Amino acid sequence: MQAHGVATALRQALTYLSKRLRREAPTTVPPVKSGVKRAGYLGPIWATLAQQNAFHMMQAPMVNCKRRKIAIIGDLNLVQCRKYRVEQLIELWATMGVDVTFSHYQDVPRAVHILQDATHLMCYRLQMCADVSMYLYEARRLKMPILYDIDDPLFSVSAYETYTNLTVLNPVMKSDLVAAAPGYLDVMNACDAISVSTPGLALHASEYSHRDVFVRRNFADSVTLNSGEVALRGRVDNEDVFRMSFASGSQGHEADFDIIRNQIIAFLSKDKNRRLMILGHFDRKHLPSDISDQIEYHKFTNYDRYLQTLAQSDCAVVPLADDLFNRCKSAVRAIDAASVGVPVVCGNIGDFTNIVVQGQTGIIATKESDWETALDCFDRDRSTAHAMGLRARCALEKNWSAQNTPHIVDPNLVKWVTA
Amino acid sequence: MGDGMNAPHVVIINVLFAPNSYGGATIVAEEVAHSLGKLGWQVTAISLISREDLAPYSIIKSSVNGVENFLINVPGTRRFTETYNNPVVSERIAGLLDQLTPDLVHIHCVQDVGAGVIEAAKARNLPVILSVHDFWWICQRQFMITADQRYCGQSPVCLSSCRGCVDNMSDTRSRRNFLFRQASMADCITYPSQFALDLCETSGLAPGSGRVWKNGVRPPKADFFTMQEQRRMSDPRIAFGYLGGPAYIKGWPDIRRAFSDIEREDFKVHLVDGSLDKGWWGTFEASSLPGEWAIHPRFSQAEMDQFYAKIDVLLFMSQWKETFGLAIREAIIRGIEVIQTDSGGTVEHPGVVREKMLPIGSGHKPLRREIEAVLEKGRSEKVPIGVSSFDDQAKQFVEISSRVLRRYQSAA
Repeated sequence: MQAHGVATALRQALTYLSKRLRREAPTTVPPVKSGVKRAGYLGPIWATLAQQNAFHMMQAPMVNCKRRKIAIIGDLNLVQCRKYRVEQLIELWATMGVDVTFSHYQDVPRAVHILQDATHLMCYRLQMCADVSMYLYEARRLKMPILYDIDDPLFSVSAYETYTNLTVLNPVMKSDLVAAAPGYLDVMNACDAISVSTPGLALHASEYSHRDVFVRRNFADSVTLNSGEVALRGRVDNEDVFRMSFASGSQGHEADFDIIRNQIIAFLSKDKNRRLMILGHFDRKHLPSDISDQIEYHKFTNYDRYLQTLAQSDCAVVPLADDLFNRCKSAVRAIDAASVGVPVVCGNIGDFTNIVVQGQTGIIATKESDWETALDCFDRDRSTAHAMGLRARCALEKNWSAQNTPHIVDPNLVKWVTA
Repeated sequence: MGDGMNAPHVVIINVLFAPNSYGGATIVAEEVAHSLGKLGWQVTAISLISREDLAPYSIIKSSVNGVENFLINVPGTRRFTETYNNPVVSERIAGLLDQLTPDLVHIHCVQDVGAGVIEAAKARNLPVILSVHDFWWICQRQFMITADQRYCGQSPVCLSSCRGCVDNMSDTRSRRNFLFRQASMADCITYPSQFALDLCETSGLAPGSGRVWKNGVRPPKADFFTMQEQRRMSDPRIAFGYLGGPAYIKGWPDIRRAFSDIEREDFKVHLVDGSLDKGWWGTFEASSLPGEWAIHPRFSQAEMDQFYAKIDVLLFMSQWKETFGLAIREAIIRGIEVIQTDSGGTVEHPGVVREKMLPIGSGHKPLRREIEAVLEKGRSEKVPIGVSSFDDQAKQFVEISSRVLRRYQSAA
């Protein structure tokens, strides 16, 4: 390079020597430093692509790809939600030849990366913020269809304002949740379609959005079935003691428990060999101290341990207060219990009546006295309870495992992805 | 979606690709891609970028003129082995191939991509056509040019003779073994010239699996000859053009010296600054040289007519054996005279006059004589010589690939 002069030659020689010493190789890929300041992770590359007329795709990614691939960007902080709304989709969509990959929304480089070769974006449980806005924009640049998925009415002021569980929590929490609701609806309405976990939630979502709403129910994936089987085999029969379990995955379920509190206390008071197992969050002040020796508290550690503990119970009680929020609820507690062969006693709120077969795989309590009656019955005839639990497990394997059937996934959603 | 033999989907892998176009091989890869698109093929590209503002090895999708290009972001500094075998890049490309499920993978220049992509494609039972464009597969320095910027001249390349040219012979052997093993997995290897094929195969690169696939060029647009005529009418001076940059290996010292000895002023020279940063001719000083000198900016394929309309003679003084010589074809198809060296694959075009080729290393004097002869004789009408276009090259690719695809279909 004779025209460059001595200074340039020296500089090049020094660069070469330093690369040699560091054993770095010369490159044919010219390094690009951001010449322009742009907000956000994608801002600088968007600027470059736009200036190079390389920004817009000519066609949707489905045109180029024989395979379908759903990129899920979601709030994965809640373990149960992550399992039922994200991780188990890998298994479900695999039955239809569709790949699924996912990222927590705060892992920006990964979230952006998984978008690039996907055919569809699914935003799970996201509210609007700068990063989510960027993901939506990138998906539009890539001409991807976007699905919004949610399993609680987080977008609904009307559901939160009447949600019984929030009455037992700090009022500030309620006002924060209500204030966040429009942010969830913003993302929901920025998407092309919506999927939800129950028909009740679908009905409620339609009050807020004109988008198509599909139901994709939670189901027992192979992790649940396998872990449940292991837990079931590890069950220790104890004829002397009758145990009922109450699982609480988050704060505020004391309000649900309150609707059967008196029946449970009465049931326990009749026999010292009866136990209430509480799994997860619970404020102990909600139960009287005179029955404290009949209460067993178990912290929620991980899913396997939860199932192992659940398997030690003779039945599971799943009360839900009758309010708008709970009418949107899925029946995951019934799925968990069935996976370990434990029958449930549940209310007729949410999706339980669609999953529990009355008298066959569990008991649906339609009035207050039904709870104590059912529990007495189970205690008196343990073999009936046990048989009902095993029927629930069989029904779970047969009807509520990963399968492309209309009661698990709306055929219109399948068509929306695979067409 | 690929539809068997009627509309195959080909994934093209080249270290650079639009929107990051640089170098002759990139031009060929891009232009053939567009021509294949015109033939109904579905084309997707994979190439590299290197940006500090994106996570290492993340992917960004871009699209230029209907060809989608997945850009893999490689870190700014990489180790020697990663220049020819980068497992992370291979893994990223493997993932893309899984998703795109093409009918065929066409691999061009893969320096910094790594040759591991061939194995990745074959592991997916995908047919692979490898197109060699330079000497990267047989020479660690890619162009067979030594550290002091001289043509190495080995024929065939014998690794023991590379000792003075590389840092570590053990590394060099490992590189050669890996590349040869990968290349042997390709279903077909193409070379742009017989010269390149002979040199690579005699040097041990997958002997017997190669065939010549000559590069095309972009033909002149309909208004080119009008532009050319108008310029000639407005300026009677002979105009020379040079695209090579201020490098010894491209013959610049001889060109400068030859012109400095010319004792007349009635000519013009256009120097093209093909660098990305206008660094080739930024400090160039022409006041001591006769004639009028001008710098022409780097141009795209679509803009090349503007440059070629300005010149009557192309100076192609390469001091090494090149594999093809795109500029020579671009010139002769436009009726432009070429003064050139006898430089490998650059002399396999139609209409070549062997005895007029200047030998490599012959210095500035023969060139000066050629320039003086042109100036003396004055402008003469050169008849454009027909050379293959990129559309022709794409049709040849279709023929090559259909044989490969047929083998796969009959094996399936």
